[in-house]
Amino acid sequence: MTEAEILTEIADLVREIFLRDDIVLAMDSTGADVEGWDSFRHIEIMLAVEMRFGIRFSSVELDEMLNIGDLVQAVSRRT
Amino acid sequence: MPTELDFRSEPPPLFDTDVLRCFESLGDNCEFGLVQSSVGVNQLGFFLFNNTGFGPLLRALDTEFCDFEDPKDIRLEVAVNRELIVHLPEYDLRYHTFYQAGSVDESDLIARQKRFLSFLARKCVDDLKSGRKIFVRKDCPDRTPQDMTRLLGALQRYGPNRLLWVSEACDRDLTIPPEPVQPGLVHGYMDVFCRYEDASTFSFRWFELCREALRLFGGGTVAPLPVGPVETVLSPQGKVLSNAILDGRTGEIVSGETLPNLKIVVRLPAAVDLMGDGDTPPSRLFSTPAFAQFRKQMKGRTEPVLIFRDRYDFEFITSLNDLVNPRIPRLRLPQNAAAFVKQLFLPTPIY
Repeated sequence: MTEAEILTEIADLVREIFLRDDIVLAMDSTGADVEGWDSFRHIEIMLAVEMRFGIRFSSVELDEMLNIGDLVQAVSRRT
Repeated sequence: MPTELDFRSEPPPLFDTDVLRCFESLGDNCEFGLVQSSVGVNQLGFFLFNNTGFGPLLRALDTEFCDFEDPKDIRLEVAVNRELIVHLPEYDLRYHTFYQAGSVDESDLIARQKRFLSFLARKCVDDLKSGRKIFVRKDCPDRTPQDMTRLLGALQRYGPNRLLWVSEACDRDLTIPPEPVQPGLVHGYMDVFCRYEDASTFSFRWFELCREALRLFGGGTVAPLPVGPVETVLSPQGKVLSNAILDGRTGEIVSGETLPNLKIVVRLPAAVDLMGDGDTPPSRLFSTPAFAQFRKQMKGRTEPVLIFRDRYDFEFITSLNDLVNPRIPRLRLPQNAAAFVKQLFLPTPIY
C-alpha cells in the first residue's frame, strides 16, 4: 500500500471512531487538530489501526508517533 | 573582550522536553504524567494516569501484568462530580474516564477499558524489557530503601531498568541533589506533592529533579536534539552566552562566550518568545490572529525553540501543548530571568 492509501484508511477509521464525517486528516495533522482526541481516544485509534492492518506497534513506535505522518509511516514499514 | 567559559563540569540538559521523555511514571498517581504532559511529552503508560498502591504495583510487575491481558473484574464508580471512575478491586486501581454517569453505555465503556488496559499492559512490558526508560515512583514518606530495592529488583527482572524514587522533602535541604542509593536507584526529593484531589497543581521542582536524576544515571537515552546552530543562549547560571555550543545528544551547554553588554539585542536564531507581558492572560494571547499565524508556521517544523517562563500556570503550559506542535523543544527559564529575557526578545520578536 502507498502512504496515501494508508492515510485514507486511517482517516476512515478515525471518522468511524469519532462518529464524525467532517474530520480531515493530513500527514502533519496531530491529535490537537481533532477535538476530543485525548489519550483514551488515542489508544482506541492505535488498537483500531493495529487490527485493520494486522500489525502490532512496538512501544518505541508508539512513543515516537507525534503526528499522523508518523503513524502512516509506522504502518507502511510493517505492511 | 568576552570571556571563554567551559560548562562541561555543570551539565544540566537544556530542554525539559528531552529530559522528561526519558522517564515513565509508576504512580502513585497522575502527578508525574501531568508534569510530562505540560512540556508536550504525551507518551502512553500503564501507570501514567491511575492511582496505584505500592503492593499492587509490585504484584503487577511480579506477574508480568497477566491479570490485565483480559481483566475479569472491572467496575465503574460514580464520583461526587458524577464522573465515572474505573475501579479494579483486585489491584485497588482507579482512574478517570472523563465520562459523566448516564452519558455513556456503561457495558460498552467497560469493554473498552478492558481493551485499553490490555494494550497499556503490553506497552509497559515492552518498555520494561527495553530498559530505555527511567521509571519514577513517588510515594509516601514511610517508604523504605528496602521497599525500593525490592521494586528495583522487580523492574530489573525485565531488563536493565533504572528507578527514581521520589519523596517529599519534609525538612530536607532541597539544594542537596538526589542521592544514589545503589546502582540503578536514585532517591530524589520534592518540595511538595500535589494534593490527590488536584494533581494538576504540581511543583516545578519536578523539572530540576529529573534533570539532576538524569545526570546521575549517566545521561539516560536523551534523543538527539533537533536544534540548529544555537548562537546565543542563557546559561543555567543566568549568563547570556554568544557562540554557544550545545552537546547534540544531551542539549547541555558545552562552551560559550559571555556578553559584557546586557543591552545588546541578541536572540536565538529560531526562538519564539511566548512569555507575553506577564499581565496578558494566556487565553487572550492565544486568541490573537498573530498567534494563529505563528501556530500555522510552526506546524511540521522542529527547529524553533519555545521559551516560557518558569512559573507559568498550568493552564498556560497545557494550552501550549494543545496549540503548538509538540515536536518543538521547549526551554524553560527561571522566573528571575524573565526581565532579562525580555531584553533579548522583545525588540525583534518573531511573535
